[in-house]
Amino acid sequence: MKSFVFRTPELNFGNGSVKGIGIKAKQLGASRVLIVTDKGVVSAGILPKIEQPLKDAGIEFEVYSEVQPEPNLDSLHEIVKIAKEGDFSFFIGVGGGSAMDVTKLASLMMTNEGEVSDFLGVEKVPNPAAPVILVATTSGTGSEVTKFALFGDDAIKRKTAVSSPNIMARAAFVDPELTISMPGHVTAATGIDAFIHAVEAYIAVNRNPATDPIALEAIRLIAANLIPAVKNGSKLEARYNMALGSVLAGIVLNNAGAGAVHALAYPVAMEYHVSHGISNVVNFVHTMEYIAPALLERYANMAEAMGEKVGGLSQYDSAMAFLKAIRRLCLGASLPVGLKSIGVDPKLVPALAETAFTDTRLLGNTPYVLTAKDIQAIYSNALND
Amino acid sequence: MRNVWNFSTAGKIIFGNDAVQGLGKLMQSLSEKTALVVTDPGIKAAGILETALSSLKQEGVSYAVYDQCEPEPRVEKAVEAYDFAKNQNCGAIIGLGGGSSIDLAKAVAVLLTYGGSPKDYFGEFKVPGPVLPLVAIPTTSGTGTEVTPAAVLTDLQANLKIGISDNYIRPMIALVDPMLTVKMPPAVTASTGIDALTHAIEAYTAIGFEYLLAEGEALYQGTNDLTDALAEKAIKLVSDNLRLAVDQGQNVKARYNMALGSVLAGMAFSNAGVGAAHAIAYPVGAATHAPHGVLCGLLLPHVMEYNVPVALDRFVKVAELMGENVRGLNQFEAAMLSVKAVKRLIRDVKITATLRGLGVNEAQLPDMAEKTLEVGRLLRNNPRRLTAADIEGILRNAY
Repeated sequence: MKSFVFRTPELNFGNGSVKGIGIKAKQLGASRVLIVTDKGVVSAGILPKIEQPLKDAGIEFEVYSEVQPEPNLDSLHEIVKIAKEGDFSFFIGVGGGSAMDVTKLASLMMTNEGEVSDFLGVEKVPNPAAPVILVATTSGTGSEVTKFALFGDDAIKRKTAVSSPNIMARAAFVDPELTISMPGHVTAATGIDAFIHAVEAYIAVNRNPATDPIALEAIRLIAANLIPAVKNGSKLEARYNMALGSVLAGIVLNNAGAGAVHALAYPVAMEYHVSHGISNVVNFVHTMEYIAPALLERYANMAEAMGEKVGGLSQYDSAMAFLKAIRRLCLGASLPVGLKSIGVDPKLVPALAETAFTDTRLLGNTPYVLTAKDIQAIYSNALND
Repeated sequence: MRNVWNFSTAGKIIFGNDAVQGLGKLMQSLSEKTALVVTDPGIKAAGILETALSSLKQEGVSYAVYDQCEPEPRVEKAVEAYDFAKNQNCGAIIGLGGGSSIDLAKAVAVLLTYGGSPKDYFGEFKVPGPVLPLVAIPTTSGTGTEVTPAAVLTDLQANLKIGISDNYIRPMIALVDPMLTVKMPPAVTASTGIDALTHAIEAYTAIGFEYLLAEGEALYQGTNDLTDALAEKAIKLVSDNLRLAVDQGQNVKARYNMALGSVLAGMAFSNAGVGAAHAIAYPVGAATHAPHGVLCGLLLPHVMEYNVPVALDRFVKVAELMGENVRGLNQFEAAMLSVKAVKRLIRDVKITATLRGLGVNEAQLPDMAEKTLEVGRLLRNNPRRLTAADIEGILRNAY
């Protein structure tokens, strides 16, 4: 019966929901807006769907569309410069995790003196950031509803993160129609990312009774819809349910946090420059197998949410059904479940494990105490798969 | 058909035993000016006010206390509290108490921010913009007002309840401390707890958001997956813990789970909406002045019975969540078990189960049915269409 805190920004969800973005921006006091996005969003033709409602609401805006995938500090500095010189005090971030995270970082730099490195870590942002609306165009990161902003620091080969409620969006828009054009492999990588958020939040040390039901609902939605969305992307119903599962997963990630899978993923992502979703999934199944003995009841509940028949099974067998189900889900979405696929050098495993072991924030939120040796063992298991 | 739903709640929910001890630090971070505490004599007498104030003192937060809130507060009370507060240099407002004190605090927050009189803001979407930081600290487990966009007041002249409804008055912070509810008397525990159950069941069995008959923005929008997940958990928590909370008030675990169930129900219904039980409770409340929770509890099983045919699968789930064994039954029989389970719970916590028991005269029923139709914003969330004759039928079943 410990205490908990639950936060979530206003969420606008549904097909066509972005049509309301102009009115919402106006309600939130926007007059001059900098839209932050990437080339992929521009070429997918999504931008006019944001611009038209802004025009209709009489809001001035400019567009910055140079956000790189897994962005580094350069694009951040560029955005802040444009915003300061152009007198923009309101941001709309449109895209996947990269565009949304860099928008959050830029908004915090507008109202807080210092370098971005001053704000790394948990609750290190003194002032509320400039107001932001986030529009998700993938179904995965959940960044639209979280207090996290990640970026790669090439100098130290580390993924680092700002975690502060002061950078949460004022409003989030999730419009499943914007995700229709997402290619299969992106759908798979981002979708499994969302799934992993929900699973890690459901077992997290910092989970709470408000996050549990939302996490199970996200697990149910994604388990039933990921493969259809990947393999039959024009099926709107699957897109819709993935968008919903993803934002619910984001809500629980924001309040319960992630764990070991993410801790193991970051060093791999930095070393091998794979996307966040892929770096997670290649560690996911083996991490879950390794820590299973401590979590039988939770695994059994998740098995049931994934549609496994657990009635009549022992708790142990139900938990094993969960492990089988997640492997099947990944493989069904054409996702790798081990490190072999990305060519990880076995000699690097101790170094990767050392780096992962320093992520005390995430490991401390894992309901199984993992030593550097344990982490090496998980990587090694994943290497052979 | 509607395509979009929107979900809002309090800006932040802080939940846990002894959470109120962090109030001083919290207020310090919100404003340097005076904190206005809105509460009632009962809370003061129970020593709860002192607990809150000592945390403020500890952190050197200056405060002013308005402790004259009344149950189901009149519009005049909002004016009185506003007059008390307006020259105190208030920078933030704390609503401490049951639904009445928190609702009054919401109304005062609007007045302190924008001036005028309460009637300027009655209705939906009449608040011009954000209000002063508002912290809601519930001392009962039921209303959910700590996370909702509504403040309900009583207009004595017109003999009706009237409210301000706007997302701008959702509290910035809901500070929920189950320990504050431990001394709540059994009858209050029962009526507020049944209110929470009504919120959860009506939110879970409301019309799907796609089919809400409304144009444009709406506060209460029908069900979606997020409100469903919250409502299901709330139904289970209340159903499993209300009897214990009533009969073993000191059972901290039951109190904790009731406080949690109430907040989750508030999060669900303040987006999905409530239905006919709440709508009918308005005119009946005006006539009887019975506690809101008692009215909702009394009406709930009869409204459920009326709604069962159009939402069979949802009522089956309610039955399951309330611990009924539905295996081997057909869907209708299983759904009807939810009605039975609610009736049993109401009986066990000793809530008045009939309108007759509240002193309603049978001749009043047609008029109450007519007046219910005026609460259209709630009725449109009900999964089954209702005419005046249908409502009268429900009232007769509840008589």
